[in-house]
Order: sequence, then structure tokens, then C-alpha cells
Amino acid sequence: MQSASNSPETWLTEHGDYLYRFAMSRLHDSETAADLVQETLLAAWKGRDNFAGNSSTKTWLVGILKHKIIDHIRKEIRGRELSESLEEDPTSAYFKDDGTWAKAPTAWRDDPEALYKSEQFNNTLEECLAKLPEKQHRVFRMREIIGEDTDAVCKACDISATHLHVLIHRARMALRACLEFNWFGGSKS
Amino acid sequence: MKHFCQQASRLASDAFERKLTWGESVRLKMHLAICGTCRNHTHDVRVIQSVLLKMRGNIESDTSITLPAQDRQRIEQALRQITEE
Repeated sequence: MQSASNSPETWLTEHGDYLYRFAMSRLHDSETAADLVQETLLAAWKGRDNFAGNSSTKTWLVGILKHKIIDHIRKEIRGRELSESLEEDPTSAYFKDDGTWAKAPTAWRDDPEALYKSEQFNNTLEECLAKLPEKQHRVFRMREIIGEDTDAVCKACDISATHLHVLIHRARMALRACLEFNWFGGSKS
Repeated sequence: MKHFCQQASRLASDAFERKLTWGESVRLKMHLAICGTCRNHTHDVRVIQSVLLKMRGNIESDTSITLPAQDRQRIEQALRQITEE
């Protein structure tokens, strides 16, 4: 029973597309996604003795892939020596001295489902993400786009949970303001 | 006294990341009850979150996205090499 599903070629045939889609949904980069599928299958072959068989092969492979995705983002962060001061709070720019909003947010009326399906909106979202400072960008991607849990992101980026929350709050503020200006502000029509 | 909007935006963001303490949750709710602008803001943030969630799920289940043939070939070769060792 083990032998039939224990060949990496079979894994590739049966799960290759799914693993690729999974990586694509998190990284939006075809080349990297394919590379990580390869790394995952190679690592799975090397670690095949550790596969207890109490989860499905697919679940096991996805688990390995998740680690590869996190590793990939972590390497990108390490390579750039990013720092972002916690003392200087960029979100203060969105508020007046008395603590009220400098530019009041409007309530978006668009349906998330329709937004998701709009290629134009997706492009605007990507553009706004790309404008985030690098560290916010990476942390936000890992947590909200890859969907990793807080612990994993903190470990990968070597930051505390509080630091993570600060960065994600900053990212959300910037992202919302950017989308309001570039999308909901009327430039779509 | 300073308005609570900036802190409210932080709490509303944290609410997606962790369980707020009882006190935090009460402060946030009380502020949102009286501040329409912050209600708009939290609404918008929720819209962003739903779109991101859909992005994760939908690409994953979109079977029209497949591993490109040349990548598949390259991976097959790499796997053959390692299994023959």
C-alpha cells in the first residue's frame, strides 16, 4: 500500500498541479511557485521515512510546501537588512493632532466577491501592496496572503507578536488609504 | 482629550490577529458606537480581509491553473536523478 504512492513521480503526477496552485495563490509568481514545487518533492523524497502515513500524502506535501514558502520569504527579508523603527509611527500621518481622522474614510459599498473577480481591482491591490515599506509588505503577505499563523510569521521574521501587530496595523492603514484613493475614490469609473 | 480614533484603528486591526482583552473590546465597541468615521474604516478593512481570503481560497481551487509543462519536465528530471541515486 505504501509502495504505490511512495514514488516522487507519482506525487508529481497526482499533486503537482495542486501544489503549484497553492504556491501561486500565496506568491503570485509562477517561476518561484514551480521552483518550490520541485524543492518540496525533493525534500519529501529525502524525508519519506518521516511520513507517518496518518495524514494523506497531499496534506503531508502541502505541509512541506508551506515551510518552503516561509523559508523563501524569510530569505528575501534577510537579504535586504530591513529595519523599521517602532517609535516613529507612520499611522499618525492619517490623524490630526487632536486624534481625529485627517481624511475621513468612506464606507466602501462594493461586494468583496465582485472585487475579487475584477482583474483591475486585483492589479490595484497589488500596486498598493507593492508600495508598502518592505518589512510591512513581507509580514503582511505572510500573515494575510499566505495565511500563516502568527507564531510562524514571528519565528520566520524573528519579531515579537506585538511587533507583528504593529506592522500589520500600519500595512492595513496604508493599504486602505491607497485603495480608497486609487479605486474607491472614483478613478475606476 | 485626544480622540480615540487612532487607537481604535489599532484595536480593530488587532482583532483580526488576536483575541482582544475584555477592556479593549469594550473600549473599541463603545468608540465605534459613537464614531461613524471609524465604523467606515473598520468596514473597509473587513472588505480587504474578505477579498484576501477569497484570493487564497479561489486560486487554490481554480483547476485551470496548472503546473507549466516545461516546469513539470524539469521537475521530473530532477526527481529521476535523485531516486536513481
